[in-house]
Amino acid sequence: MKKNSLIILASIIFTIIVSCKQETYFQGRLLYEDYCQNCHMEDGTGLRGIIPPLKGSDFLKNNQNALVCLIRKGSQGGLTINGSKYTQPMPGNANLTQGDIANIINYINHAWDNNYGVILYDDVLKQFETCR
Amino acid sequence: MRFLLLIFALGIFACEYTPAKLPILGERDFVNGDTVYHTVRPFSFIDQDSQQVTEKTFGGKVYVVDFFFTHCPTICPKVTKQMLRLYEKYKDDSRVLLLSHSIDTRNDTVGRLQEYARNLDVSSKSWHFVTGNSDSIYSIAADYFSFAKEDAESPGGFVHSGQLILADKHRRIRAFCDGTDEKDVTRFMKEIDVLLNEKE
Ligand code: HEC
Repeated sequence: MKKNSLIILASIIFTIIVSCKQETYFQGRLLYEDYCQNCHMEDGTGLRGIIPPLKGSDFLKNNQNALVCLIRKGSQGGLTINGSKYTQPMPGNANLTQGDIANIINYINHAWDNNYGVILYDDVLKQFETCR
Repeated sequence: MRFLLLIFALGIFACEYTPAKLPILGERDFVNGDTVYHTVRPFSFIDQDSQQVTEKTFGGKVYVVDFFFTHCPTICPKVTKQMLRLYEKYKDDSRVLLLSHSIDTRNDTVGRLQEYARNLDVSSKSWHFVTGNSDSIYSIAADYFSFAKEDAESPGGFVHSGQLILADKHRRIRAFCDGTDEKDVTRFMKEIDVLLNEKE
């Protein structure tokens, strides 16, 4: 009897540990791997002079209200990130849903020591409306 | 028990093992008792600084080849990032050159390649980005056991492999790696050093 309750207690603790280890922005990371990582890289550093970094990007930090459109529509080239100008265009992602985009933004806002805050789903919807 | 340990030790050792000489890859012929190895055909392309680049540019050099295009939406930036690692390691070593072929020759003009190399902050002294006749580029890809061709169905309009290919000073193929995989490129760098130290 005593042995049984010990086993149950152990499995509860085990479950808690496992589920707490689940990263917060797991869905966002999976989407990032599929849609962004080829260019911006696993560690968010981009490619020198060609693809801007997301890790420690002042642009990402300061343009939180333009991100949904940027991800959806892409960018022509010509952005300045951390003092360097980039000339390559970024392709758009017409097939990402509002929920996908929210997950991706929350992932890149918190990955690689970034600390750019949480974007709410409602804000994503609002931004989405303005970029048709 | 001791025997098992020995096997175990051998196993670990085997993973670290880099051969003292790299194999010569591809089909070979035997002509009058001599071995004739697979060799990349002579070529002529134009690089980012409008210089003509031919097999003579690479004469007596060890060189690493890849296929890419500047507006590639898929794996190219990853591969270029690994080529950049090679560039940083060998840029002051005149025995080693890098050669990146654009497979989108229509859009990748000399001007665009120049901008790309300038943004990347690399010099044509050790890294040539070339464009030219697209058929010649697709057929030279086959000589490097790689592939590249136009394909409307693929993202960006082209299919190609992300391999890096190591050629020796006689334009024979000596090693490969997956240019999107940092670890595999680290292994490949050891093989480049083996080739550099090889005695004829
Ligand atoms: C084909 C390569 C490519 C892909 C794929 C790509 N980007 Fe970009 N990204 C770029 C380039 C190039 C720029 C700079 C564009 C400019 O200067 O207008 C950029 C700029 C950005 C910026 C603003 C600048 C910065 O670094 O903060 C953000 C944010 C961004 N991308 C996020 C994403 C996200 C999220 C994804 C995936 C949904 C993605 N990108 C997919 C190439 C890419």
